Amino acid sequence: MILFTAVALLFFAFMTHIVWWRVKRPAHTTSALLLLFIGFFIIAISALSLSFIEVMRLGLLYISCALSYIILYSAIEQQSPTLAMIHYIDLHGEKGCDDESLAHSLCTKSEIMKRLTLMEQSDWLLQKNMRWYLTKKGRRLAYLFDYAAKLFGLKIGG
Amino acid sequence: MLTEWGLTLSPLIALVVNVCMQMISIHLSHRTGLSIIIGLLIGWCVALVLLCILSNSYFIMDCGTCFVSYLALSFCFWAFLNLNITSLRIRILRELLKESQGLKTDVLLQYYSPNELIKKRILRLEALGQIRRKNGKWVLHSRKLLVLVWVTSLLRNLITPFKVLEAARDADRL
Repeated sequence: MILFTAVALLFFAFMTHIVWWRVKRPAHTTSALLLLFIGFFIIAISALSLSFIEVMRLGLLYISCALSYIILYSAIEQQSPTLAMIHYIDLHGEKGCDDESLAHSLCTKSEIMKRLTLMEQSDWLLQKNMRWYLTKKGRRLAYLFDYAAKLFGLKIGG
Repeated sequence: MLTEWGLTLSPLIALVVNVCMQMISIHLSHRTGLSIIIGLLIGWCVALVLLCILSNSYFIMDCGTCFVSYLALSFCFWAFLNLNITSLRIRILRELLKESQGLKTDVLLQYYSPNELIKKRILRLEALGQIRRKNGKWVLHSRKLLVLVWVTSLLRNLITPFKVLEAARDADRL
């Protein structure tokens, strides 16, 4: 029953998400998605008479699937350069494409500026006197990822 | 009661084992991909063992609930690791952490020039066996990531068709 309830909840939440985005896409999509999925969960546990353990099990299943979708959504909203490269190379089939045309068609100066602007809008960075600095929020995130990189043995990427 | 709690928490216990095994194997093998797979598989085994011990009448349903939760949680963990490996934004954050005086826009643009970004991604895709060199040009070697391209494209068309239409109109104008 928990599995079916979670699947049904995810389905209805996803349908609502599609309708909402088609009517008017929210400015802060991640917050809106979190609100949507958590809202559906709260309505479900209020409407169904579930024991505490059943709520925990449903919550774990539903929230983990919802979080997975929210993570995937960033790749849906804006195609990543890596996937764009794969798509571009595929378009050329067996003929292949050279480094120059790949670079020319994909990554431009504006990609970096887009990311810097998005990070400024998310309050991760601020620009002062033509220089970029971390905000408190940005610093916390940077420490988190830096610590995770040491813990999980990850090299600096990008 | 303990059985019910055990079944409920089994995906979380499996995730903790996954994370710990990933940490141990990366420091032993220095291979990120391999350590992620080792963590995932060992966590999966732990979940299976817990299910065999704790579940009785509804074994199939419990398996379904547990494995779907575990896979979704593992995906979230993998995505968190992947941000460190591939995300430009996270790299910029970590670089700025080292620079208390901040960085100028043109310095950032220099560090992350289009050629640098393309080169990093090409090396990564080649190492993963996704693309290969043929007569001096790049061709696809595996269609796995292409499936992801198609799925994300389909979802993009479903969720924001107007954005797709606007982009198509803009492309026509150019």
